[in-house]
Amino acid sequence: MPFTTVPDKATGAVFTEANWDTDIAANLNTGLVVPTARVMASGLSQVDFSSIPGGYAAILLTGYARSTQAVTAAAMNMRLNGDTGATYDRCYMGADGSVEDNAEAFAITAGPFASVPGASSPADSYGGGWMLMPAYDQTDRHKSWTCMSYWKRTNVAAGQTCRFEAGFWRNLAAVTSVSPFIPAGTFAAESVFNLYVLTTV
Amino acid sequence: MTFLPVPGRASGDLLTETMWDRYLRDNMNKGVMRPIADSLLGSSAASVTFSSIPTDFEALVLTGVARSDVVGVNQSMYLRFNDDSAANYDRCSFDGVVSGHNGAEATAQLQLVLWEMPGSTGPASAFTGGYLLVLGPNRAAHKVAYAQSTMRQANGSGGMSSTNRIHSWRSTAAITKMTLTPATAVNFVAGSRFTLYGLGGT
Repeated sequence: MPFTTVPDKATGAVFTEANWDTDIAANLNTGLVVPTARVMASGLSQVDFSSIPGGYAAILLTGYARSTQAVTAAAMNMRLNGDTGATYDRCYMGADGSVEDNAEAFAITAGPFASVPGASSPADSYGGGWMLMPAYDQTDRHKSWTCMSYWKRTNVAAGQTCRFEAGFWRNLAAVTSVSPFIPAGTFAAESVFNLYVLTTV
Repeated sequence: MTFLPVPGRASGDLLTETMWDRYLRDNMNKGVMRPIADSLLGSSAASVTFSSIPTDFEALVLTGVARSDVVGVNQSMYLRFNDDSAANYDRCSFDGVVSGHNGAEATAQLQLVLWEMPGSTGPASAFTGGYLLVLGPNRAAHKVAYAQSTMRQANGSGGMSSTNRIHSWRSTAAITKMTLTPATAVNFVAGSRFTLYGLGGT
């Protein structure tokens, strides 16, 4: 889905169907950083972005969320194409309060995305993160992505966590759906997720 | 903040006001990722302010390069939203230099400590480069801001660093203003540049 360079037009030139279809419609629909779906997630425990079109350079997922579960924080992992098998790997570094935190895990049943504050965290505190996955539609390789996440459990020392993470999916299939989820409770009222596609030239 | 897919047109169709307003104007203005404001300093300045930020984007992205004229090798850069100077900013970070890395946090700060930048005794022509992604800028809850930067304050070992910082702003107000300043009363040097983008939704 490449961006098509928009041509110059001379004074008096006719505005053609191709000008509209190629230079405007196609560029706007598939030639820029285009939002493909937005989900207000209040009341949901899982958000499904399905029918993701192929042909782009990368997908970008953002999640701004909080859980209604009575905990200070909850993991928000994601599954690709609904795969619940032990086909995901992860590796991260970050800080838990002022304590450095890093780990890895192999052959797990969901991929990393972020974590969110729970109902026992400070009021109005939201977390989540973003995820960028290039070559998501390539069928000759496993998928990989990077993500950043933040959540706050309390307003005092040792109450925050930041994480910079890599995820892997051992599957050759093109990614056509992405589903972030929390294990219990639902997403709180202001939670919102956006999926974007990044074009190429 | 809503992107509307653009339909095809047949030969001879008129370009109507609706086509212009909905598919061109609205999609261009707030449906895709587009620049909101840009500030390239032609001379030194004590601060850079982006005001009247539209509130209908799903995310805000700030990119920049900067250098301070502070007498020293480096200096922090501050950011405040909506002129809020109260103790409403939290931060969790994982910064690194060649000798090691450092996980840290700070709560109830008076501003967001965004990036680190070279000072006047840093290498000539060295600027920091970084970005900031703000999610939920218009949500009625606390905002989350993800930032990374890289800096070269010396040309020898230990002279480079990277910062990875995530921030929370304890406010339910929509972000309409962002003000960048050096950490002390000095200036950004000429050539420092900041660009703010909005990222639409659908």
